Amino acid sequence: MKDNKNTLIFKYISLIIISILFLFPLVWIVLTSLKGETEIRVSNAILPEKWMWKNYIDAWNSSNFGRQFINSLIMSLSVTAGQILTAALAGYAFARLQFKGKKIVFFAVLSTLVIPYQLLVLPIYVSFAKIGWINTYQALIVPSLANAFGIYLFRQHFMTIPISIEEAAKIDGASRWQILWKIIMPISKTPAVTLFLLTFIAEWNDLFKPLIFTNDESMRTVQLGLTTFQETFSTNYTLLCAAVVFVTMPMLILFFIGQKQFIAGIAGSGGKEG
Amino acid sequence: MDSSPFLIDKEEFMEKIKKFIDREGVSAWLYIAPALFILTLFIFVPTFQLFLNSFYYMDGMGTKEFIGLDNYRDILADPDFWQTVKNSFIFIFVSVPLGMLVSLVLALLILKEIRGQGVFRTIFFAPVVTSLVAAGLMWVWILNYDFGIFNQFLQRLGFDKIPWLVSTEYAMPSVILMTIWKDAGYNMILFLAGLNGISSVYYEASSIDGATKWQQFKHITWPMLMPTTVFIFIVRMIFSFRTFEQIYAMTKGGPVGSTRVFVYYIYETSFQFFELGKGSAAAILLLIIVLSLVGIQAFISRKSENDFA
Repeated sequence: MKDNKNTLIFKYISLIIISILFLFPLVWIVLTSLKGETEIRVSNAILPEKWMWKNYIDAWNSSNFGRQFINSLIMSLSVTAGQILTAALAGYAFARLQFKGKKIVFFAVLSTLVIPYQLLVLPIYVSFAKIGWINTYQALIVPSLANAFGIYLFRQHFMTIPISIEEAAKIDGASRWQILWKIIMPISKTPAVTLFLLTFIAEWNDLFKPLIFTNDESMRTVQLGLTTFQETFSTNYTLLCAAVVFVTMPMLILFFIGQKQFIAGIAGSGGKEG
Repeated sequence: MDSSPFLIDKEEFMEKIKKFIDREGVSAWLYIAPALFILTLFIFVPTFQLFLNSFYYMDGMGTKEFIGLDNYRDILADPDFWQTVKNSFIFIFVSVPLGMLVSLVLALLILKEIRGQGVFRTIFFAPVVTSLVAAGLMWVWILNYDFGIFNQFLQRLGFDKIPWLVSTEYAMPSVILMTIWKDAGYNMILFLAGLNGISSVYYEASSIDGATKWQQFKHITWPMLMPTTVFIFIVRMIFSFRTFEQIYAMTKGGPVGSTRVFVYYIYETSFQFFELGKGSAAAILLLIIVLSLVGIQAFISRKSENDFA
């Protein structure tokens, strides 16, 4: 069914207006980050009088962002790698292997998705305080090493692979372990990339875990860095905007590169049976 | 040859172990073990601990004293808690339906035959990948009373400035506005998946019968999209109860508690006033609400399946 010309024109006009509204906050922050500190208080101009690229250097140097980037990178990469590994293994078992209690265990795994993780941070905090894990990388990484969503994602993917591929390998004498890593995993890049993007971005953007599990300046992640930056330099909006831009930019770039997988992963999570 | 003191030869033994591990049931449990270990240690056990802790007085310094239901009594008698409940429900029941409406409109606009569909999709989705902290801080500047672009714009149009984040009246609407902007792209993708699942046959048949666009939407799109809509509504509601980070970045729960939502209340009680027991009790109350919603959702989806059958 085709839209007639008037409908189409109406759609384009609406889309362009909505796009401008959606992009506006992002663009405005970039523009503010390039203005002078007094300029943003006296001038109504949209573009900067003088493009203050120096704001970025000043913002970077006014807080320990280098360290915070490294911390965030360590946390996000470790969690992501761990989740892909645990999810691929468990997803394979749920998709392909028969074992007693499979249904109950799978239900239990999925049920973890409904529990708000911020609530669990309370008892975990008490335990971590006891074993001296506050202000450590372990505290930021270990609790997130497995996630039901990733397991579900891999399971759904493995179920689409024809079983004949595995049977052929079995006849050749391959063990289950070999089949998984030599035959199944090489053709499972899609869920791996999807999970990588979703998890990496979610971890990079997370505030709650670092907020509770760290209090030392040297363990801060970028998001925690942003909030403390705001608390320290609350009136210095140009530098704050610059900091927001360089913390956000890596994720926007990552999203542009992996857009297809990222969106497919979200669309897949909405389907009833995937 | 290795002269083993055991009767079984080493290689044969290793072979047997390998065979044992390769058995279906054994492999399966070994494969799910790492994930199950983490989920047990960091979700199932903490949930249980949370429940136990809710009956104790805990100050975070090591004091732990059983006080029965006192934490719950405390919370239910706390006017701040009831304000929090009210705030949370306002936040959820305004931001979720309104956000879904925006998302549905976006999805319908870019559904088909639109040149540059990918570009529009990317634009609407960009806020989703920004962190809630960064997005919150952006809006703090945009909504700044004296110098924010919103108020400058209002003034230029001849209106009074609005105290967006600094008044009890406008703080919550500001947070909701920002949240809708941030999440619209996400729900749009889910709606797109649902809309693409509706067969074009229905539309073709109905346009032969002379149905208008609105009639098609009302009689085909809307009812057929219902499962998607219900799914998004429930999931969004469950997730909205987790709202914390934009509040932390934008208002810190203020002014005078007007944007303090559930998780923020729990955070404040536990980590600012160090009443971990009371915080746990509040967390259990939240958990009960969320689980009831999940139960209702399961009931509805089972019922609608029966209706179809």
